[in-house]
Amino acid sequence: MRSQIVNFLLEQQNRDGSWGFSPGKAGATEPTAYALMSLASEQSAYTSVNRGVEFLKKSQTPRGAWSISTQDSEEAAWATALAGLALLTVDGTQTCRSAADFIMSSFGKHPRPWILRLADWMRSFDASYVEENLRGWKWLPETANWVEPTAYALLFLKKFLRSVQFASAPTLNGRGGPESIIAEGELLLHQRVCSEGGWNYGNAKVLGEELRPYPLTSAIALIALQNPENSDCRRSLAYLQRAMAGERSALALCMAALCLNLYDIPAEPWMRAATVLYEETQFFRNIKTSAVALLALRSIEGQNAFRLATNVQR
Amino acid sequence: MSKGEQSSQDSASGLSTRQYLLSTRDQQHTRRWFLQAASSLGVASLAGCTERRPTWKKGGYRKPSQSRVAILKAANYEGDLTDVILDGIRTFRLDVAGKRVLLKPNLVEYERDTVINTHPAVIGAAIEAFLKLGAKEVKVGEGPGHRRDTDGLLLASGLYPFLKDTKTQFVDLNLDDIRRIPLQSDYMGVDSLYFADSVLQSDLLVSMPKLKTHHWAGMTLSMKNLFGIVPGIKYGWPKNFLHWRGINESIVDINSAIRAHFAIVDGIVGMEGNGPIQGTPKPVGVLVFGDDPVAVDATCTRVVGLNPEKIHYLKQAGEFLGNLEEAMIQQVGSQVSTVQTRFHVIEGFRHLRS
Repeated sequence: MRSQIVNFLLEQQNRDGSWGFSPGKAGATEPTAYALMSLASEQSAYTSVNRGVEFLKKSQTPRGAWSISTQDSEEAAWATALAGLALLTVDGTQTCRSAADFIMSSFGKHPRPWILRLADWMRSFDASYVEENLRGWKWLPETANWVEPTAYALLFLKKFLRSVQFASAPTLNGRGGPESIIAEGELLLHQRVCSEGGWNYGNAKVLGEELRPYPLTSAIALIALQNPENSDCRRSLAYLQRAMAGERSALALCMAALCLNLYDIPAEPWMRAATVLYEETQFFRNIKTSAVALLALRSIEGQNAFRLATNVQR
Repeated sequence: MSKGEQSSQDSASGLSTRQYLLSTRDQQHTRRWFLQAASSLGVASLAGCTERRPTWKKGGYRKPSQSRVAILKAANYEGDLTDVILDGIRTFRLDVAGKRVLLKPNLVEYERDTVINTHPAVIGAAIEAFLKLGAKEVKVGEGPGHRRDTDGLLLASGLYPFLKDTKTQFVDLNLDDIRRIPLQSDYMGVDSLYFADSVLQSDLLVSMPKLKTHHWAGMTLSMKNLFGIVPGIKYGWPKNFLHWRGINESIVDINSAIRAHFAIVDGIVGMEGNGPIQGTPKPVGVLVFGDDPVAVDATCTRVVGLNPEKIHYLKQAGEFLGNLEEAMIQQVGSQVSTVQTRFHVIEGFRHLRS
């Protein structure tokens, strides 16, 4: 499966160096980032990776951000985090400082009507007050904070901080420095852990109803936190392992394998399940899923691109 | 299904409970609450300034003088559904030959023992029917509202074997190429939205919803089903932007911009109660067809014993997108009264019965 996936990714690179989500589709930041990270240490992919890096560098906006794809110009923090992760992995930190600045500047609360903001302020004098509207990251501006964009942004910022001497990191007006931003972003993830462990894509509970966690979002949140000592993480790892039995999504299986590997839990059974699915469906020729599978296979070989200590591998 | 396993696209929002209610649930209720709160603070005049009457462009008006809806009986999913669907399509003399058809089922979430999704047998039969009628190509496309792992949904829901058998391409509309399209109405307060390109490239868009109640919108049918053509890659999972702008408003604006040319509603087994995810299966034994989505949805609403004029988005759409009034809809096949199966609704939607 590994060599087939490498060949598939190499064949499906667009002329401009990007990858779309599936063959023939316009270049998008997410599959490009995953493809680059997965091909980073493949000898046969050297030229392809260089072209991908050039694509990302060219498509970065003056403010250090990326849009979701070549078909949209609006800057997106989650896409920026993924592009930044890819560049950190394959090209070092040079182009990532402005990306980090952009991501920190995108950190914020849910937009709320002024009357609710007033109510929040009044409630904050109550000793039992719990902040429900922690800052985090959104899929797009003027909407709510979500688990997956927050996890990507956290992972990027944490990897970036470990990659550079961030002594001169900017302290954005009223937002705090990167360490405090990371701490609050992590708090948001912890606040949203479902009762059985793991993460829904949003809250753990809405209108009094507990919501179910999903394997894919749980794996991504755990990758961002990377804290094996934390009780939320331990509970969520237990959930994730339970949920993997019978999982039919190759994307979820491979992301879970990447995640479990970070926590030193054997991921081979889930990659075997993913291999069976590959034989049945070729992952529906989805480029991101293929790249995540390649990343998961590499993690089992000892190279996990999401491990916080791991960076430039070329 | 245990309480801990319950989920829904809309209720699983990342908003706090109170904020979610304020942002999406019932616009009238929301405005009332806001006005009361604002009034108590002596700023009602400021709140009143925010009220805005939605409008639609002249080109957005497409209400026909008369609509037809066909209700055809289908007792279960094991029978020959292809013939029933062929009958339904032929009733409308739909021009299929040489056309690129995109079937848009409702594929949200898979839970064993419940009926969240359009049944794969209905989708498989529709693929076969459109091919028999000479379609140049038939694709199936969906952009699930809150799951990014659509691959698992295709396999778990049982749709994949039908796609494989008929060599039909599935398009994940969340990850498709995207294109920005101007809206023909202004209920959400935005002038354009991005849509999946495969939808725009098709000649014939067929909305294939499940007959279900919806705990925010009242009913989810062929119009609400078009939420799935709005790409997650742009608007996130769930399509939070639409929720912030209002579910009812979004349904109308999406349908004013993109027309489903035909609708096939899977009402063989529907969902009552706390739909669209956590409700209870309810056999009705029908497939409902039509080329006016408003009329189709209004008829389905009557079939389950509810009043479509009390469903906010249907009432709005009935002003310019299609026919809502019973007198303007010619029923073909079974009459509503002969197949009517009253659906249980949650407390907040009891008023839809009258």
